[in-house]
Amino acid sequence: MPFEAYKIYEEYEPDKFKTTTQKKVEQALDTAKKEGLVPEAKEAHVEFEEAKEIFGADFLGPESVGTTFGVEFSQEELNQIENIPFTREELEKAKELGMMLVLRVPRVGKDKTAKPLTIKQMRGVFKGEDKLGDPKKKKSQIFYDQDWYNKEEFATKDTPSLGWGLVMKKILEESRSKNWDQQQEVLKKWAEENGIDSTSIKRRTPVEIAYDTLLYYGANKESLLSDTWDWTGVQSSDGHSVYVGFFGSVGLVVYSGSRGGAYSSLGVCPSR
Amino acid sequence: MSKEQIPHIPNVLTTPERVMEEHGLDESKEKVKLSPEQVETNVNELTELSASRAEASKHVRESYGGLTKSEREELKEKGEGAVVAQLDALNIDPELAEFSEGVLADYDKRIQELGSNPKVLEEYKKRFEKLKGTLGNVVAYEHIQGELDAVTKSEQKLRLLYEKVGRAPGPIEKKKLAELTEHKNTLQEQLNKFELDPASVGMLRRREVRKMQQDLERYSFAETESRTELIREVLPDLMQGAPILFQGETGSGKSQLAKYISERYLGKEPVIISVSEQIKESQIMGTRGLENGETVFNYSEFIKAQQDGRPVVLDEVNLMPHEFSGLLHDLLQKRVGDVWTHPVTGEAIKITAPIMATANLKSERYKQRYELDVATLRRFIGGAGAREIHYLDLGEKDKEGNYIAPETLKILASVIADRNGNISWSVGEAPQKMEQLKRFVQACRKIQEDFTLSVREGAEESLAKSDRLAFRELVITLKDQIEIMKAWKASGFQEPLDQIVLKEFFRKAEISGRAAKDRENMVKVFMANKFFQDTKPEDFNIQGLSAKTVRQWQGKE
Repeated sequence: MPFEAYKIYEEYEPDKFKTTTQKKVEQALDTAKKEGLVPEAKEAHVEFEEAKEIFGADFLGPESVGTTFGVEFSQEELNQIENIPFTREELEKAKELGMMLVLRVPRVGKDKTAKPLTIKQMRGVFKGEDKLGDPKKKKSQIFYDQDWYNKEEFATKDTPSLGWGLVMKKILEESRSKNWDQQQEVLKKWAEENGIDSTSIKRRTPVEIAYDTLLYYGANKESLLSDTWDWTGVQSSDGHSVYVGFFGSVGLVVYSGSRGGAYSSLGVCPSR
Repeated sequence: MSKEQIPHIPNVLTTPERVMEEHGLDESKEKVKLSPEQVETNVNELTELSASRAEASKHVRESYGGLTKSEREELKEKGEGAVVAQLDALNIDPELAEFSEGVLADYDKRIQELGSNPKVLEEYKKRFEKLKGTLGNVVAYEHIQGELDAVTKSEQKLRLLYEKVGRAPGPIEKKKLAELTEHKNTLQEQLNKFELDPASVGMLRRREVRKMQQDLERYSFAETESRTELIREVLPDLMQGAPILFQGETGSGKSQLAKYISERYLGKEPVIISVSEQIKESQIMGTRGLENGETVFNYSEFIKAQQDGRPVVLDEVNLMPHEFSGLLHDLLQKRVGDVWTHPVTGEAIKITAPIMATANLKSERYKQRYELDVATLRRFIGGAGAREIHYLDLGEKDKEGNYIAPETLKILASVIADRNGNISWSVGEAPQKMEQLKRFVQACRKIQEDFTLSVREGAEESLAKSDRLAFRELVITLKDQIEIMKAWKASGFQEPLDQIVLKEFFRKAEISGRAAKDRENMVKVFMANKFFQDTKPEDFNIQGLSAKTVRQWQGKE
């Protein structure tokens, strides 16, 4: 995939060319803000089927986890994940905003063969040719061939926690070309504008990004973050913050950058 | 925008069709059955080859001194001797010409192989048609934008005219101005409502890059937003023949800007006169001489330009001795349509083009000696103005107060891009390369800023202030940055950027030990921007720069 020259400076021209959709979204957000739209009161938890109905292909539950990572759930685990910790309204709103509902697990294998689901582990599991995606549009590999993070803790120790998460499928447009601290403000503003408690919004960890992206790819044969990066709050050993993405034909890429930097492709996906 | 309004994109043959028209079908490939995946892979390859072929073809043309394909064939028909003579005359390495021809032949062979499969060609053409649809949309957008620019310019020009005349517009003029404003608003509305999809936005951006490349090739100048704004402001006056003065630091692009305005907007190649302290009156007005025993008066290039209606660029006009500047005053007051009488021959010359002048901003030390006299300056101010031209992006900051260099980056991005607007960086290496580039631009911007301050305030004074460094003679100009980028691109981006900077700038700026302190300060700035972290002290070859200092700057001591 060629690198477009304009990406070097487009961050400085955010308003130069806007797509019609971007204009419409801006107008809609503006109107919503002016009208002071607020979310309604919360209700009780939601069942699997109900969530599945709301999210359709963006519901990544036990079935998808099983197909993608080969995980079988114990009864204890099933009890833990039985209730989805969001109200129906929250889920409907999330779907409307472009979020997906993801069930995350911390391990692969079962009982004695169970291993922590780290990035390192995922690289091992998906080594070789792409068996996850559409056989007609295979990637050359699932993970881009990099060795800089082989010994980094975020890749060797961190695993997702068991439970449900709501994640935006794309980076927030307004988070592009912003440094890390500015992105924090964007997240806060985004939460406020959408009537979500801003303290419940967080960045994903590198392993969560890798997990969610592969899960979605396995379930829907579509690549998320194909030409963008999601910036995490996790630091690599050199003190830079890790970003993950560019899940194109050469596989998922992991890098880290100084929090002061800002690129047009480097944004953030709000997560709960 | 309705379909009828979209400009017509002519139906031309696609590159594979043209290649096959020339070379014929490859029958061995024609009947091969391909799976849908293979078709897609081949279409992808064909698309990539077709896009790159144009560049390969251009290389062949260049290696034959601009000869087209038919001209090259004609030359070859004349025999090997004629080809060798042509290459010799152009000082071109025959091996290079042969290599570029071989590359193009390989392109054609592979395109022929892939395009000979009817399914592949059909899919390719479908993709091409889709691209054409996007192009139509983009061209329409650019068309409205261009019309809006033109209407804005006309409106501005007319308002300026009334201001100059010193009267309020009458009812008819008011009506015309109102019509222009209404038309402008309609166009603006059309632009706001324009259906731009991501593919169109991408293409618009790429076309912008391409336009910048073409401008750099043709005019050695790239028109960025700040320069466009300046041109828009001064152009109405220049078109009326009013003189303009561009003042600025060395290498800020003053002369190039004057030349560009002249060629692109006034449509005439200017006559450039380099002014020096030694300039003679005869170089301004002309000289008497003998021709066939008769006394004749030979006009200078300056006067000839007035006769021919060509704009004149007086480079470094501030160096002109004060006693001669009086000669200019009369001319500087003339406008298009006025007649100027030559003081010696008495010939009446009708003015049709403006005088554009440049002046280097000098430090306090030289100011008295080289400053333009007030009378001359006043005539420029009364014309199209005396404008200060600084390095691009100087003092530019984002909302948070961080220094940025968007226009420089835009130009440099177009320099390192290919004609399709792509840079040959892999996905993996792109973030690092981009960061390197931004650090490079940041370092250059800092040097330019400190140089500007050194010139304005005097080197010694600025040295005493905070983190500023003094630069007396040397600065990295945009032109230098472009050369560095070209060399980086030529290395396939494989050579580290610091090595390129060292080779292309520091080595070339050695000038037998001169400006050692400037070069030393430059090294310091680059090191502060994470360059030269492992460069050996002796590699800089700067007199007085100790190994210890370098190691300290590198954080190794």
